[in-house]
Amino acid sequence: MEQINSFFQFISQESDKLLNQTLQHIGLTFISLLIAILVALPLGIFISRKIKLAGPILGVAGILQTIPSIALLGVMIPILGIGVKPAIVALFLYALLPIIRNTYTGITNIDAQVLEAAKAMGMSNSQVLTKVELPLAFPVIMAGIRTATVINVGVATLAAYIAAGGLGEFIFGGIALNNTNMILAGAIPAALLAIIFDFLLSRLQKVNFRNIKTYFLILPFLLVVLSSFYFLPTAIEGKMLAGFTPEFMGRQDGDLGLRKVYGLKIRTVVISDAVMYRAAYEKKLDVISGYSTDGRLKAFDLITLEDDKHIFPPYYCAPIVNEDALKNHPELEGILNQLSGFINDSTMTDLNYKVDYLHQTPEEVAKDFLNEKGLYKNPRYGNGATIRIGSKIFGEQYILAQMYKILILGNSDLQVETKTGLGGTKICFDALTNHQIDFYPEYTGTGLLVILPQKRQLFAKIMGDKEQVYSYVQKEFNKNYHIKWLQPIGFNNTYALMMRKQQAQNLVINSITDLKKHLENNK
Amino acid sequence: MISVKKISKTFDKTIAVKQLSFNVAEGETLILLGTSGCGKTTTLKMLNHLITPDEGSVFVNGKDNKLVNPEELRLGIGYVLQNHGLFPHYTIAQNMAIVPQLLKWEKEKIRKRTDELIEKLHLPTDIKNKFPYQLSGGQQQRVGLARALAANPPILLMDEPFGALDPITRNKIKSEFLTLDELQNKTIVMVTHDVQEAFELGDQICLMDEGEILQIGTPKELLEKPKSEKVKNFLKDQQLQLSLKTLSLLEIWPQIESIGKPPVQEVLDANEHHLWSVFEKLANQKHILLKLKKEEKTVTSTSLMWALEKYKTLNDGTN
Repeated sequence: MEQINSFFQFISQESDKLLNQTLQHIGLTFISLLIAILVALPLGIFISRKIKLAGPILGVAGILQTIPSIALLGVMIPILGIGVKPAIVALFLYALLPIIRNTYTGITNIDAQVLEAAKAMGMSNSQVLTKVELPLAFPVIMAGIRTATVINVGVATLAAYIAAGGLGEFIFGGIALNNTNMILAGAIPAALLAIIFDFLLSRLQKVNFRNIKTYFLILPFLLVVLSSFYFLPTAIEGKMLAGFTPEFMGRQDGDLGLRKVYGLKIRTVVISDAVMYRAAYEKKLDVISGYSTDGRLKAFDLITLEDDKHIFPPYYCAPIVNEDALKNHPELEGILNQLSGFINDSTMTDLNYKVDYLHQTPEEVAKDFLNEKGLYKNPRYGNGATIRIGSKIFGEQYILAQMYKILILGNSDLQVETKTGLGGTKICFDALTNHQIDFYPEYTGTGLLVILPQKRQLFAKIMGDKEQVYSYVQKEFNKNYHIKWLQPIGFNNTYALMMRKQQAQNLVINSITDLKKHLENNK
Repeated sequence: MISVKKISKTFDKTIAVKQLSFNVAEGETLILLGTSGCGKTTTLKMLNHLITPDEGSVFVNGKDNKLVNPEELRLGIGYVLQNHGLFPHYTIAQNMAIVPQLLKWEKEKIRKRTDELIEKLHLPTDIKNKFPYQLSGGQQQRVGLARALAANPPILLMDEPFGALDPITRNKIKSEFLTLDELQNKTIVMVTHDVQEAFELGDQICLMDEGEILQIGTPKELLEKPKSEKVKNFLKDQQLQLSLKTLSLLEIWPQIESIGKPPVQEVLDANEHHLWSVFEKLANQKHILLKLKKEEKTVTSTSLMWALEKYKTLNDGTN
């Protein structure tokens, strides 16, 4: 019951967005459907005349159908950029097969005697087509259009990955934020759209033959009207375009905070982080949301803007250790703290870049770095107890785990086992409290917002201050879970707004406030 | 009216029609008769250019088909198919209006013509707004005929028009067909594999085999003067029935003897009937009074059989 209530609360809060997304979704579906009909119908008619070409053309359309939608969207980006164009092209390609195939089947299955009669009575080829073949194939063609529509409603959710909008924004945002209400707010309307359009088209499919002419006139009109829905939602105009991940769009320490605290008004599209950095690099986007130590910052020559009003909570990284392990191996704390102060944001970005883009192994990168800093010692190969190091499933954590491994092996007789690639925060943390691992690198913000019980007002007060957040999580972890936060390593892997270095320098934008001022002055 | 000169057609190396020539005079009914695969349907479809001959020419009204726009040609030729070929998405009235509409007739004229044909073909008046699937097989076939006749074309091509009907319906429609005034002055080319039908309906019969003409002539000529063994064999099984059908009462009149003057149900004019139709009628009644000018003869089936036997012996002798 509470779930249902909170769902409706969410809906009413976000009704504007929901309406916009729904209209965009309908628009995307029908623009691509309209184009697909314009192409597929003549093509279907053509191959019903040239049966020899039917196999190859249906084959090609069939292959297009089997390409995974994400891959198809990915392929489109270098050619068509991001936004509505690649989305429509992808949806168009998916809609082709059912319409071509059904047009072809519908026409070729018409009773040969009827066609012979039509010809024998003196009808020209075009009269046979419009008066006999198309009307008789109509139900089958409509069935194809129905299938294409349902496919398009489904695939159009993925448009949110490439900044084309639609209900996918809620769905993927909800998944990223683990917000069931948000997922449902996207998924239920999407499902309803599929069901409603399928139903309406099924009614159209069973039309009385007597009125068929009317329907042939209504259908294109209806499609154009539905297509135009995409252009109804009016975005904020402006020269700069921001691309934010679905997750960022829904977070207080994200788009919501940017609007509330900074009053930032920028034209915004929703986009998957898989393509976001490249899109910024290729000047399709000017501002993106990202993580401050992401290797792609370096790869695509981006810089982060200073969060001068502190809306992004600090995500300082520090090893968190089970206190039982510290009790049994007191030397551990000193060893792990050796790393503290050596890695700042840009150092971490650089290290991530080496792993993610230069494809060096985390072991190599860790060893080179420690050598450079004079922390490397040859392993002692002792036969003490085994320390188990955990890590989450991304490059930065792999590198840190390797560094700790080297430090422990070089400075003690302990042995090390690494358990890298533990899915997410929850898995790592449970493994730590259950003594399946002894420590792993965690971020203060995550400790505060994901693991600890939520106390909104208190958090809002301390959020801006990295020292306060650190001491709060340290205290609470100790009290609640018997886990100790060691000294922070130094870098802060938090959300950040990013721009191309060149553009930011030209416009003299260093902080989010600078960005806001620039936008206001250049309307 | 129709003149066919040495037409040939080959499909994928199978010869369908070989060097075929014949003429159909105005108002005449020509039957293309033969077993399936003999090329008769191919021949029919070459007449309205549904199929283009590989060689030779077809002349309709003196014009070479090759030089005429095929759509225009077909608008002047009615076409009846075995399985009616009615448009399933058109009502009966719409189906019947197809050719008049292509010819851009006025609405009122089309409506009148439709009503007229519905009456002439004994179709129920409420049929106009029904769809083909709502009709019986016989009704569908009648509508198919009405559609072909709608614009009153001088030529009618029929491809096994009664082939898909059950025997009772077939006979009924055939007898209507014979009496339908719309058909009296038409030049008709009809395809059938049914020998009986060919003899009942044809002025001329063109007997075909393997794409060639075995013999072309009146039913009587085929029966009495077969050109080859093949022709004889083709007609052999139904010799008796066919001879009854081709034999008019007039020819056998001298041999018929009256059996007296019992009360009769029916009086027939000997000028208008074949021997066969009288036999058919005698199946249901004992006596029939036949009239020729002022002469009257009452017959039973037995007395008619006697007359036939006498006629045969007389003619065999002269042969």
